[in-house]
Amino acid sequence: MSEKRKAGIVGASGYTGGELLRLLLGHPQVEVIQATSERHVGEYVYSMHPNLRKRTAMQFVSRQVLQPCDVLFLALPHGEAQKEIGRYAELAGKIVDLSADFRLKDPALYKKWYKLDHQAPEWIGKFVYGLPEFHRGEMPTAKYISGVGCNATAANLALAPLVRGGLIDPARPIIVDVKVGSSEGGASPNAGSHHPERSSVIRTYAPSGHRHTAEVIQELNLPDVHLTITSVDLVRGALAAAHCFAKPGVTEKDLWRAFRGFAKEEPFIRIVKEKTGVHRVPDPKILAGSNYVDVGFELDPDTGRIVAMAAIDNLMKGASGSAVQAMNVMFGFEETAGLEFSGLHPI
Amino acid sequence: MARRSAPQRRMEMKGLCPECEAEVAIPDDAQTGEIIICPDCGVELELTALEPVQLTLAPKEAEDWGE
Repeated sequence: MSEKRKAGIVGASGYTGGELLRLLLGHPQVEVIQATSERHVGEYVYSMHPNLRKRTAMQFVSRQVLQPCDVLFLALPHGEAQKEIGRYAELAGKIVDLSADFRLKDPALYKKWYKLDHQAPEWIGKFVYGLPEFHRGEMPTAKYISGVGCNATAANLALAPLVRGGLIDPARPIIVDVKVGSSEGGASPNAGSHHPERSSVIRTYAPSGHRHTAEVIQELNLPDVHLTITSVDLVRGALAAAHCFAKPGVTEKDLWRAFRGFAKEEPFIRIVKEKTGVHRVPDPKILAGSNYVDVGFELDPDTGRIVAMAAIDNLMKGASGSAVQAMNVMFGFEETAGLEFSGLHPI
Repeated sequence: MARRSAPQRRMEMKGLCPECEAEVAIPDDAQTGEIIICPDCGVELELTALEPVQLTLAPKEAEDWGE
Protein backbone atom coordinates (compact mmCIF):
# COMPACT_ATOMS: atom_id res chain seq x y z
CA MET A 1 0.00 0.00 0.00
CA SER A 2 1.26 3.49 -0.78
CA GLU A 3 2.30 5.84 1.99
CA LYS A 4 -0.57 7.22 4.01
CA ARG A 5 -1.61 10.82 3.54
CA LYS A 6 -1.01 12.98 6.58
CA ALA A 7 -4.03 14.80 7.97
CA GLY A 8 -4.60 17.46 10.59
CA ILE A 9 -7.85 18.41 12.29
CA VAL A 10 -8.28 21.99 13.44
CA GLY A 11 -10.91 22.33 16.13
CA ALA A 12 -10.86 18.67 17.04
CA SER A 13 -12.49 18.84 20.46
CA GLY A 14 -16.01 19.44 19.13
CA TYR A 15 -18.46 16.82 17.97
CA THR A 16 -17.63 17.02 14.27
CA GLY A 17 -13.93 17.02 15.15
CA GLY A 18 -14.46 13.91 17.24
CA GLU A 19 -16.24 12.21 14.39
CA LEU A 20 -13.43 13.12 12.01
CA LEU A 21 -10.96 11.57 14.43
CA ARG A 22 -13.05 8.40 14.76
CA LEU A 23 -13.33 8.03 11.00
CA LEU A 24 -9.77 8.94 10.10
CA LEU A 25 -8.17 6.78 12.80
CA GLY A 26 -9.76 3.84 11.00
CA HIS A 27 -9.04 5.06 7.49
CA PRO A 28 -6.71 2.79 5.52
CA GLN A 29 -5.00 5.58 3.63
CA VAL A 30 -4.85 8.44 6.11
CA GLU A 31 -2.75 9.11 9.19
CA VAL A 32 -3.89 11.80 11.62
CA ILE A 33 -0.77 13.65 12.76
CA GLN A 34 -2.31 16.52 14.69
CA ALA A 35 -5.53 17.57 16.35
CA THR A 36 -5.93 21.07 17.68
CA SER A 37 -7.97 22.58 20.47
CA GLU A 38 -7.13 25.90 22.07
CA ARG A 39 -9.08 25.12 25.22
CA HIS A 40 -7.67 21.64 25.69
CA VAL A 41 -4.01 21.95 24.73
CA GLY A 42 -2.02 19.06 26.22
CA GLU A 43 -5.07 16.99 27.11
CA TYR A 44 -5.47 13.55 25.62
CA VAL A 45 -7.92 13.37 22.76
CA TYR A 46 -9.90 10.72 24.59
CA SER A 47 -10.59 13.17 27.42
CA MET A 48 -13.06 14.87 25.08
CA HIS A 49 -13.91 11.86 22.94
CA PRO A 50 -14.07 8.92 25.33
CA ASN A 51 -14.97 6.47 22.56
CA LEU A 52 -11.41 6.94 21.26
CA ARG A 53 -9.67 5.69 24.41
CA LYS A 54 -7.10 3.11 23.40
CA ARG A 55 -7.56 4.09 19.76
CA THR A 56 -5.08 6.95 19.99
CA ALA A 57 -2.65 8.48 22.44
CA MET A 58 -2.76 11.84 20.68
CA GLN A 59 -2.91 15.02 22.70
CA PHE A 60 -4.50 18.25 21.55
CA VAL A 61 -2.11 20.92 20.33
CA SER A 62 -2.59 24.61 19.62
CA ARG A 63 -3.39 25.58 16.07
CA GLN A 64 -0.39 27.93 16.34
CA VAL A 65 1.99 24.94 16.13
CA LEU A 66 0.33 23.19 13.21
CA GLN A 67 2.74 21.30 11.00
CA PRO A 68 2.51 20.98 7.21
CA CYS A 69 0.40 18.04 6.09
CA ASP A 70 -1.42 16.74 3.03
CA VAL A 71 -4.92 17.67 4.12
CA LEU A 72 -6.35 19.89 6.83
CA PHE A 73 -9.87 19.47 8.12
CA LEU A 74 -11.21 22.66 9.66
CA ALA A 75 -13.91 21.93 12.25
CA LEU A 76 -14.09 25.40 13.74
CA PRO A 77 -17.13 27.47 14.71
CA HIS A 78 -18.69 29.35 11.83
CA GLY A 79 -16.74 32.50 10.96
CA GLU A 80 -13.37 31.27 12.21
CA ALA A 81 -11.94 29.48 9.18
CA GLN A 82 -12.25 32.53 6.94
CA LYS A 83 -10.08 34.58 9.30
CA GLU A 84 -6.97 32.44 8.71
CA ILE A 85 -7.70 30.55 5.53
CA GLY A 86 -4.53 31.85 3.88
CA ARG A 87 -2.32 30.46 6.66
CA TYR A 88 -4.07 27.08 6.57
CA ALA A 89 -3.60 26.92 2.81
CA GLU A 90 0.15 27.45 3.28
CA LEU A 91 0.24 24.41 5.57
CA ALA A 92 -1.75 21.96 3.47
CA GLY A 93 -2.31 21.46 -0.22
CA LYS A 94 -5.88 20.41 0.37
CA ILE A 95 -8.46 21.68 2.84
CA VAL A 96 -11.90 20.47 3.83
CA ASP A 97 -13.68 23.15 5.86
CA LEU A 98 -16.71 21.83 7.71
CA SER A 99 -18.01 25.25 8.70
CA ALA A 100 -20.45 27.39 6.73
CA ASP A 101 -17.73 29.86 5.73
CA PHE A 102 -17.26 28.71 2.14
CA ARG A 103 -20.51 26.95 1.32
CA LEU A 104 -22.39 29.86 -0.22
CA LYS A 105 -21.05 31.06 -3.55
CA ASP A 106 -22.47 34.56 -3.31
CA PRO A 107 -21.02 36.81 -0.56
CA ALA A 108 -24.29 38.73 -0.55
CA LEU A 109 -26.15 35.51 0.18
CA TYR A 110 -23.67 34.81 2.98
CA LYS A 111 -24.33 38.23 4.49
CA LYS A 112 -28.09 37.82 4.16
CA TRP A 113 -28.18 34.49 6.00
CA TYR A 114 -25.25 34.81 8.41
CA LYS A 115 -25.50 38.55 9.11
CA LEU A 116 -21.75 38.95 8.64
CA ASP A 117 -19.48 40.48 6.04
CA HIS A 118 -17.30 37.71 4.66
CA GLN A 119 -13.67 38.28 5.57
CA ALA A 120 -12.17 36.28 2.72
CA PRO A 121 -14.55 36.66 -0.23
CA GLU A 122 -11.72 36.03 -2.69
CA TRP A 123 -11.53 32.46 -1.37
CA ILE A 124 -15.19 31.57 -1.84
CA GLY A 125 -14.84 30.73 -5.50
CA LYS A 126 -11.96 28.36 -4.79
CA PHE A 127 -14.14 26.00 -2.79
CA VAL A 128 -16.30 23.20 -4.13
CA TYR A 129 -19.52 22.58 -2.20
CA GLY A 130 -18.85 19.43 -0.21
CA LEU A 131 -21.69 17.12 -1.16
CA PRO A 132 -20.22 14.37 -3.39
CA GLU A 133 -23.67 13.42 -4.68
CA PHE A 134 -23.86 16.87 -6.29
CA HIS A 135 -20.22 17.77 -7.02
CA ARG A 136 -18.30 14.51 -7.39
CA GLY A 137 -16.97 15.48 -10.79
CA GLU A 138 -15.30 18.64 -9.50
CA MET A 139 -13.65 17.09 -6.47
CA PRO A 140 -10.67 15.20 -7.93
CA THR A 141 -9.15 18.46 -9.15
CA ALA A 142 -10.28 20.56 -6.19
CA LYS A 143 -7.86 21.85 -3.57
CA TYR A 144 -10.54 23.21 -1.28
CA ILE A 145 -13.88 21.70 -0.35
CA SER A 146 -16.52 23.23 1.91
CA GLY A 147 -18.65 21.46 4.46
CA VAL A 148 -22.36 20.85 4.19
CA GLY A 149 -25.16 21.90 6.48
CA CYS A 150 -26.81 18.90 8.11
CA ASN A 151 -30.39 20.10 7.63
CA ALA A 152 -29.54 21.27 4.14
CA THR A 153 -28.12 17.86 3.30
CA ALA A 154 -31.24 16.05 4.42
CA ALA A 155 -33.40 18.48 2.44
CA ASN A 156 -31.18 18.42 -0.63
CA LEU A 157 -31.05 14.66 -0.83
CA ALA A 158 -34.80 14.27 -0.28
CA LEU A 159 -35.57 16.69 -3.09
CA ALA A 160 -32.77 16.03 -5.57
CA PRO A 161 -34.43 13.10 -7.39
CA LEU A 162 -37.62 15.10 -7.84
CA VAL A 163 -35.83 18.22 -9.02
CA ARG A 164 -33.55 16.36 -11.42
CA GLY A 165 -36.52 14.44 -12.77
CA GLY A 166 -38.49 17.62 -13.36
CA LEU A 167 -41.41 16.19 -11.40
CA ILE A 168 -42.28 19.14 -9.15
CA ASP A 169 -44.82 21.83 -10.01
CA PRO A 170 -42.60 24.95 -10.00
CA ALA A 171 -45.56 27.25 -9.41
CA ARG A 172 -46.06 25.96 -5.88
CA PRO A 173 -43.76 26.38 -2.88
CA ILE A 174 -41.76 23.56 -1.34
CA ILE A 175 -41.89 23.18 2.43
CA VAL A 176 -39.26 21.06 4.18
CA ASP A 177 -39.93 20.06 7.77
CA VAL A 178 -36.75 18.80 9.47
CA LYS A 179 -36.63 17.07 12.86
CA VAL A 180 -33.20 17.14 14.45
CA GLY A 181 -31.23 15.76 17.37
CA SER A 182 -29.40 17.74 20.02
CA SER A 183 -25.88 17.16 18.70
CA GLU A 184 -26.64 19.64 15.94
CA GLY A 185 -26.17 22.29 18.57
CA GLY A 186 -22.51 21.42 19.00
CA ALA A 187 -20.43 20.60 22.06
CA SER A 188 -20.77 23.98 23.76
CA PRO A 189 -23.72 24.09 26.13
CA ASN A 190 -26.32 26.83 26.24
CA ALA A 191 -29.51 27.48 28.17
CA GLY A 192 -31.58 25.60 25.62
CA SER A 193 -29.37 22.53 25.78
CA HIS A 194 -29.52 22.25 29.56
CA HIS A 195 -30.92 18.77 30.22
CA PRO A 196 -34.17 19.75 31.97
CA GLU A 197 -34.89 22.15 29.11
CA ARG A 198 -33.80 19.95 26.22
CA SER A 199 -34.94 16.51 27.31
CA SER A 200 -38.23 15.30 25.75
CA VAL A 201 -38.71 18.43 23.69
CA ILE A 202 -40.49 18.76 20.40
CA ARG A 203 -39.40 22.35 19.90
CA THR A 204 -39.74 24.15 16.60
CA TYR A 205 -36.78 26.44 17.17
CA ALA A 206 -36.61 27.71 13.58
CA PRO A 207 -40.11 27.95 12.07
CA SER A 208 -38.58 30.01 9.27
CA GLY A 209 -35.32 31.67 8.35
CA HIS A 210 -32.96 28.79 9.14
CA ARG A 211 -29.56 29.46 7.59
CA HIS A 212 -29.33 26.09 5.88
CA THR A 213 -32.19 27.17 3.63
CA ALA A 214 -29.62 29.08 1.61
CA GLU A 215 -27.78 25.86 0.73
CA VAL A 216 -30.95 24.27 -0.60
CA ILE A 217 -31.75 27.36 -2.68
CA GLN A 218 -28.21 27.37 -4.03
CA GLU A 219 -27.68 23.68 -4.66
CA LEU A 220 -31.05 22.82 -6.15
CA ASN A 221 -31.69 26.21 -7.72
CA LEU A 222 -35.03 26.37 -5.97
CA PRO A 223 -36.05 29.94 -5.16
CA ASP A 224 -39.31 28.99 -3.46
CA VAL A 225 -38.16 26.50 -0.82
CA HIS A 226 -38.70 26.94 2.92
CA LEU A 227 -37.29 25.04 5.89
CA THR A 228 -38.76 24.55 9.34
CA ILE A 229 -36.52 22.94 11.96
CA THR A 230 -37.78 21.14 15.06
CA SER A 231 -35.65 19.75 17.87
CA VAL A 232 -36.69 16.28 18.98
CA ASP A 233 -35.50 13.96 21.68
CA LEU A 234 -32.58 12.43 19.81
CA VAL A 235 -28.85 12.98 20.21
CA ARG A 236 -27.96 12.11 16.64
CA GLY A 237 -30.17 12.22 13.62
CA ALA A 238 -32.06 14.42 11.19
CA LEU A 239 -35.17 13.58 9.23
CA ALA A 240 -36.34 15.85 6.44
CA ALA A 241 -39.88 15.56 5.12
CA ALA A 242 -40.16 17.70 2.00
CA HIS A 243 -43.68 18.60 0.93
CA CYS A 244 -44.21 19.63 -2.66
CA PHE A 245 -46.71 19.14 -5.45
CA ALA A 246 -46.27 17.00 -8.53
CA LYS A 247 -46.73 18.25 -12.04
CA PRO A 248 -50.00 17.01 -13.56
CA GLY A 249 -49.82 13.41 -14.71
CA VAL A 250 -46.91 12.39 -12.50
CA THR A 251 -47.44 8.95 -10.98
CA GLU A 252 -45.79 7.08 -8.15
CA LYS A 253 -43.94 4.97 -10.72
CA ASP A 254 -42.37 8.18 -12.03
CA LEU A 255 -41.13 8.82 -8.50
CA TRP A 256 -39.76 5.28 -8.30
CA ARG A 257 -37.85 5.82 -11.53
CA ALA A 258 -36.45 9.14 -10.33
CA PHE A 259 -35.34 7.87 -6.93
CA ARG A 260 -33.97 4.61 -8.32
CA GLY A 261 -32.02 6.50 -10.96
CA PHE A 262 -30.59 8.80 -8.30
CA ALA A 263 -29.66 6.06 -5.84
CA LYS A 264 -28.36 3.51 -8.32
CA GLU A 265 -24.74 4.65 -8.53
CA GLU A 266 -24.56 6.32 -5.13
CA PRO A 267 -22.71 4.26 -2.51
CA PHE A 268 -24.53 5.83 0.44
CA ILE A 269 -28.06 6.50 -0.85
CA ARG A 270 -30.64 3.82 -0.06
CA ILE A 271 -34.31 3.81 -0.94
CA VAL A 272 -36.51 2.83 1.97
CA LYS A 273 -40.07 2.34 0.82
CA GLU A 274 -41.66 -0.86 2.01
CA LYS A 275 -45.27 -1.90 2.00
CA THR A 276 -45.02 -4.09 5.07
CA GLY A 277 -43.07 -4.48 8.26
CA VAL A 278 -41.80 -1.90 10.72
CA HIS A 279 -39.12 -0.24 8.60
CA ARG A 280 -41.24 1.23 5.81
CA VAL A 281 -39.86 4.74 5.78
CA PRO A 282 -36.49 6.39 6.47
CA ASP A 283 -35.67 6.63 10.17
CA PRO A 284 -32.49 8.29 11.44
CA LYS A 285 -32.42 6.10 14.51
CA ILE A 286 -30.73 3.21 12.71
CA LEU A 287 -28.23 5.48 10.97
CA ALA A 288 -26.33 6.65 14.06
CA GLY A 289 -22.63 6.53 13.26
CA SER A 290 -23.13 5.62 9.62
CA ASN A 291 -22.76 7.67 6.46
CA TYR A 292 -25.87 6.29 4.81
CA VAL A 293 -28.78 8.41 3.66
CA ASP A 294 -32.11 6.65 3.63
CA VAL A 295 -34.60 8.26 1.27
CA GLY A 296 -38.27 7.54 0.69
CA PHE A 297 -41.33 9.11 -0.85
CA GLU A 298 -45.07 8.95 -1.24
CA LEU A 299 -47.47 10.55 -3.67
CA ASP A 300 -51.01 11.36 -2.63
CA PRO A 301 -52.89 10.60 -5.85
CA ASP A 302 -55.90 12.67 -4.78
CA THR A 303 -54.04 15.93 -4.28
CA GLY A 304 -50.70 15.46 -6.07
CA ARG A 305 -48.81 16.17 -2.88
CA ILE A 306 -45.44 14.46 -2.69
CA VAL A 307 -43.77 13.79 0.63
CA ALA A 308 -40.08 13.08 0.05
CA MET A 309 -38.05 11.98 3.05
CA ALA A 310 -34.36 11.72 3.85
CA ALA A 311 -32.85 10.47 7.10
CA ILE A 312 -29.21 10.99 8.08
CA ASP A 313 -26.89 11.08 11.05
CA ASN A 314 -26.30 14.82 11.25
CA LEU A 315 -22.73 14.37 12.48
CA MET A 316 -21.94 11.87 9.71
CA LYS A 317 -23.57 12.48 6.33
CA GLY A 318 -24.54 15.90 7.63
CA ALA A 319 -20.95 16.85 8.51
CA SER A 320 -17.89 14.66 9.11
CA GLY A 321 -18.95 11.66 7.02
CA SER A 322 -19.54 13.80 3.96
CA ALA A 323 -16.22 15.55 4.63
CA VAL A 324 -14.33 12.24 4.64
CA GLN A 325 -16.27 11.03 1.60
CA ALA A 326 -15.32 14.24 -0.21
CA MET A 327 -11.68 13.79 0.82
CA ASN A 328 -11.78 10.25 -0.57
CA VAL A 329 -12.98 11.55 -3.92
CA MET A 330 -10.47 14.41 -3.82
CA PHE A 331 -7.51 12.05 -3.33
CA GLY A 332 -8.82 9.30 -5.59
CA PHE A 333 -9.33 6.85 -2.73
CA GLU A 334 -12.17 4.36 -2.70
CA GLU A 335 -15.15 6.62 -1.99
CA THR A 336 -16.37 4.47 0.88
CA ALA A 337 -12.98 4.11 2.59
CA GLY A 338 -13.31 4.58 6.33
CA LEU A 339 -17.09 4.91 6.01
CA GLU A 340 -18.25 1.32 5.83
CA PHE A 341 -20.01 1.21 9.21
CA SER A 342 -23.62 0.28 8.59
CA GLY A 343 -25.10 1.50 11.85
CA LEU A 344 -26.65 -0.46 14.67
CA HIS A 345 -29.88 -2.34 15.05
CA PRO A 346 -31.44 -2.49 17.51
CA ILE A 347 -30.29 0.73 19.09
CA MET B 1 -47.13 -21.95 -1.42
CA ALA B 2 -44.05 -20.76 0.44
CA ARG B 3 -42.83 -17.29 -0.47
CA ARG B 4 -39.25 -16.66 -1.45
CA SER B 5 -37.00 -13.72 -2.12
CA ALA B 6 -35.76 -12.88 -5.57
CA PRO B 7 -32.48 -14.80 -5.99
CA GLN B 8 -29.17 -13.00 -5.51
CA ARG B 9 -27.36 -14.61 -8.42
CA ARG B 10 -28.11 -13.60 -11.97
CA MET B 11 -31.01 -15.51 -13.50
CA GLU B 12 -32.10 -15.56 -17.08
CA MET B 13 -35.77 -15.08 -16.31
CA LYS B 14 -36.80 -11.65 -15.16
CA GLY B 15 -40.03 -9.88 -14.50
CA LEU B 16 -41.11 -6.35 -13.71
CA CYS B 17 -42.59 -5.45 -10.35
CA PRO B 18 -46.03 -3.95 -11.04
CA GLU B 19 -45.70 -1.79 -7.91
CA CYS B 20 -42.32 -0.10 -8.42
CA GLU B 21 -41.03 -1.35 -11.79
CA ALA B 22 -37.99 -3.01 -10.25
CA GLU B 23 -36.43 -5.81 -12.25
CA VAL B 24 -37.22 -9.01 -10.40
CA ALA B 25 -35.10 -12.10 -11.05
CA ILE B 26 -37.07 -15.35 -11.21
CA PRO B 27 -35.46 -18.56 -9.90
CA ASP B 28 -34.85 -21.18 -12.56
CA ASP B 29 -37.06 -23.68 -10.79
CA ALA B 30 -39.91 -21.27 -10.09
CA GLN B 31 -43.44 -22.45 -10.67
CA THR B 32 -46.59 -20.49 -11.42
CA GLY B 33 -48.43 -19.57 -8.28
CA GLU B 34 -45.20 -19.01 -6.39
CA ILE B 35 -44.87 -15.87 -4.29
CA ILE B 36 -41.75 -13.77 -4.87
CA ILE B 37 -40.74 -10.71 -2.87
CA CYS B 38 -39.72 -7.60 -4.78
CA PRO B 39 -36.13 -6.70 -3.83
CA ASP B 40 -36.83 -2.96 -3.98
CA CYS B 41 -40.25 -2.26 -2.49
CA GLY B 42 -40.79 -5.50 -0.64
CA VAL B 43 -44.25 -6.31 -1.96
CA GLU B 44 -45.26 -9.91 -2.42
CA LEU B 45 -45.71 -10.83 -6.06
CA GLU B 46 -47.48 -13.83 -7.47
CA LEU B 47 -45.86 -15.49 -10.45
CA THR B 48 -48.91 -15.93 -12.65
CA ALA B 49 -47.13 -17.00 -15.85
CA LEU B 50 -43.68 -18.17 -16.86
CA GLU B 51 -43.44 -17.74 -20.61
CA PRO B 52 -43.41 -14.81 -20.67
CA VAL B 53 -42.93 -14.01 -17.00
CA GLN B 54 -45.91 -12.29 -15.48
CA LEU B 55 -46.03 -10.93 -11.93
CA THR B 56 -49.08 -9.58 -10.16
CA LEU B 57 -49.50 -8.13 -6.71
CA ALA B 58 -50.28 -10.98 -4.37
CA PRO B 59 -53.45 -10.54 -2.34
CA LYS B 60 -52.55 -9.61 1.19
CA GLU B 61 -54.48 -8.75 4.28
CA ALA B 62 -53.98 -5.23 5.57
CA GLU B 63 -51.32 -5.16 8.23
CA ASP B 64 -51.43 -3.09 11.37
CA TRP B 65 -48.21 -1.11 11.45
CA GLY B 66 -48.48 -0.51 15.14
CA GLU B 67 -48.54 3.27 14.73
